[in-house]
Amino acid sequence: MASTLGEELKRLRESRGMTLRQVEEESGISNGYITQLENDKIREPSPNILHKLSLVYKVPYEQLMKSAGYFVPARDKKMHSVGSKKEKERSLASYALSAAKLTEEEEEALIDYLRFLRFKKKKK
Amino acid sequence: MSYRRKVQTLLPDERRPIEERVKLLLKAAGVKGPPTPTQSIVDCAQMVHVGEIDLEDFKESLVQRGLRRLLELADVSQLWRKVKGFFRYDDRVFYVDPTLHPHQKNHHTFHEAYHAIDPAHEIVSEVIHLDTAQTLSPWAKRKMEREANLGASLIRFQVDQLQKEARDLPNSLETVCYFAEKFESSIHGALRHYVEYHGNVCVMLVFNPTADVTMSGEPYYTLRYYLPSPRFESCFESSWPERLYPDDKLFSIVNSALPNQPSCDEIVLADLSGNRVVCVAQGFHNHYDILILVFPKPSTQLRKRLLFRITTDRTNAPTKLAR
Repeated sequence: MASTLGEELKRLRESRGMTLRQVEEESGISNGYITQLENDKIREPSPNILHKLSLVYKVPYEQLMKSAGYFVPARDKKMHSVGSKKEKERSLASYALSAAKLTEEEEEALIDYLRFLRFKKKKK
Repeated sequence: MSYRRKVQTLLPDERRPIEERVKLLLKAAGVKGPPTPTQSIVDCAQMVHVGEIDLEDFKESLVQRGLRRLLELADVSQLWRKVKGFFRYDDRVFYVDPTLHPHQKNHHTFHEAYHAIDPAHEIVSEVIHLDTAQTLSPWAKRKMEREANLGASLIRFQVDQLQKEARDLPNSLETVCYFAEKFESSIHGALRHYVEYHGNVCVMLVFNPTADVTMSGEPYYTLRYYLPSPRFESCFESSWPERLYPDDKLFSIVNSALPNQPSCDEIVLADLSGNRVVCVAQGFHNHYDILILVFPKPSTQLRKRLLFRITTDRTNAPTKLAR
């Protein structure tokens, strides 16, 4: 069975021989919050907290994000008809975007427009 | 009776790194006091403004590239009405809807600036960019947006600057309006920061701007959300009904808060020990919502008095009448 984020954080801390107090001192995160994380009481951990803990435990931040459930499989969508492979693969989720809910078509048009803006900028 | 849940806020441990990061940004931008200079923040966050979106130019380019299909699929003009702003990490370009009210434009600029300065957000974006088999889960996206909203609010109100200035002022909606003007914010934004960060006992309630009617013809107001201050939560039970009916005294305060005509009355709340506490409830209609601030009736006069009457124009900007 896959371990939870809490189990993983506890294992990382204990394998490094660190106490909650030591992690608190190194990360600036209160031991109360760390305890809640280790007991899986905090279901939606902050990216900043995971980033700090990844630095203390010297593990990739991405690993902790995955354990916390930050990522889900992308929808199986048809790729765009133009642009380089890298450009085709660009998804809206890689932008910090404030928008109301978009339909798939709107999302596709928006990705194309953002690509268009980049193209225009390079041309200048 | 159904009860509205408290609006979700970040825990103190989750706020601390955001506060620290915003403090550094404000220092680098040379911010000395309110209001926060937007351009200095943009410069310090190393963001490049993309300017106006030229839809005609884009539509023409779609046609030229044989992508007429996209034009047919999505109404491009409608699409851009939905997008309030974005920030792209690789070339640090940002866009904010130019048709927004200046207060909202500033909020979205500060929101994108926070995304820009938070390495934890940037790495998430990189992972998504490189691995397209996965995307950000809805709760993680909400969490990051909540952090960027808090970051925007802290940039606007300069972390603890409002708290420092509010120390000698009365706990009231007039004080909130005074800060909204000083920090160039909406009254809604100022009230939220005031309740979240100021050490007073108070709660903010946000109702829909108009009353609805039940099947039997009884009017009611719908509570959109409420936010108690940390001290309010330690003194009072914090749950509010989703619908407010005429038999509740608060109804008349909400009902009489018309645009340009704030309302005020006393209500009685039971504290956690069961004691009845007389509270002041002040209402304000900003054209979009009805904002209510509730706080215990003060027993002593404060050293300073703020003579500041609340009015509003269509821009939601408070107007100073007398000081």
